[in-house]
Amino acid sequence: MIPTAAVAAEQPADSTAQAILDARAVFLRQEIELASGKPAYLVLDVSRGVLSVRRKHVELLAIPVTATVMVPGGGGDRRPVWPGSKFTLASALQEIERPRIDPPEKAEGDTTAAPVTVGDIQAARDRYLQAHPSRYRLTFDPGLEVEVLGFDPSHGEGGAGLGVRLGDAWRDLGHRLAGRERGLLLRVTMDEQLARRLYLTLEPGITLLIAPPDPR
Amino acid sequence: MKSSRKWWLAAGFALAVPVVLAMVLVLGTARGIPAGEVEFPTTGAGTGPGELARLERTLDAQRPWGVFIIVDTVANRLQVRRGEDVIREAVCSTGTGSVLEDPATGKRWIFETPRGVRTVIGKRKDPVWVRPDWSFIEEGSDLPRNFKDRVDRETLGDWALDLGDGYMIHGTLFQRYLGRNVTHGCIRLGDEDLAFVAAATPVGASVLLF
Repeated sequence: MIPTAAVAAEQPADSTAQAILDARAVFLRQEIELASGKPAYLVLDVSRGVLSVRRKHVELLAIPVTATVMVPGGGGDRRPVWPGSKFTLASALQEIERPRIDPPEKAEGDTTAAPVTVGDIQAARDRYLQAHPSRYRLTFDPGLEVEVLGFDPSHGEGGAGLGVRLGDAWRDLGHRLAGRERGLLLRVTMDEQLARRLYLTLEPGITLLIAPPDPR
Repeated sequence: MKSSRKWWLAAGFALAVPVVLAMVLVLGTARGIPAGEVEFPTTGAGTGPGELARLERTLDAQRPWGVFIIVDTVANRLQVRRGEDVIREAVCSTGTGSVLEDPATGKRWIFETPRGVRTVIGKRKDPVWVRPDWSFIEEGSDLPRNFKDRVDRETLGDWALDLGDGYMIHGTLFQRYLGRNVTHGCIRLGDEDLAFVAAATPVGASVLLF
């Protein structure tokens, strides 16, 4: 009985390690495919707690995040499984209105005319960046919703307040009443300026990869 | 009137109670778990460490070869890289993101530094700028009748690295504005940084802009 127990104790550890090796291989093949093209892509490294924007395997932006998967009530104690390993953004992105430049003749008589000094130009640019959302929800295929929650670090790590939790509850309720299976909800908390920056960087149909831990 | 209001209040209350109860039920049972604990789909491929190492080498080979440039259009920073090594970091100026519309024709220009991957397609010493229409329209000037009135030998500084579609990395007469989004889409550098970038970056080098 003792050897059997020892084998039984070792087997799950081996199979877990093998599963991580396999998942890592899938991830690397997918990143090779993405890095061979020009578009940007996102990589969420769950073990490092970093969401990065990459092109050609070069990390352009590394955003420290706290990533949590929300499991709806009634799901039992079963650990969730990622619904895929490569996700494509399906949500439409909000178009933010750009600052406008009016040529001088028009500007003279127009009180709404665009700025002409460098300070004003930069201020208009800053307003444009600030107009990007810091809290938003993105739908990825297959079956992954990503909720980005930007917080002001001077006010501590905001995370999911009552409003967010009520929103969750409302959506869960809607799915339950409609008898629909809700996709996995990944909640990503980050600095609000970086959340805006991330939104600016998103491109329609951008790919998100979830990086399994590096087994080495 | 009074009884009607009471009726609406009662109906509202009767509707709100089950909704609130249902939400409380869900709130009470929903839980969050760290994303690192979520399992990955199993493939049963039986990958070995050697295969993983081979894939990592293949992935590393996707990075731009030799010297390349990264431009951050929000922080207004430029890096010259060789592999993982940063060999120069510089403050630059990039596009305002503003829109200019020609009042006469309705034609629009967006002064944004393009994001994506570009290639240095040419390098020019003492570059001449042929001013495009928008630079006159923006000033409220008439478009020149003669080509020579478009020629500007000062604005671009000592070097221009062409990135295609009229976008360049070049110098500036306004070094005090480095670090700001003040350009029409080009990337401006200070004199010393521009000299370094021009010397270090060969034609054909990749430029990653984000």
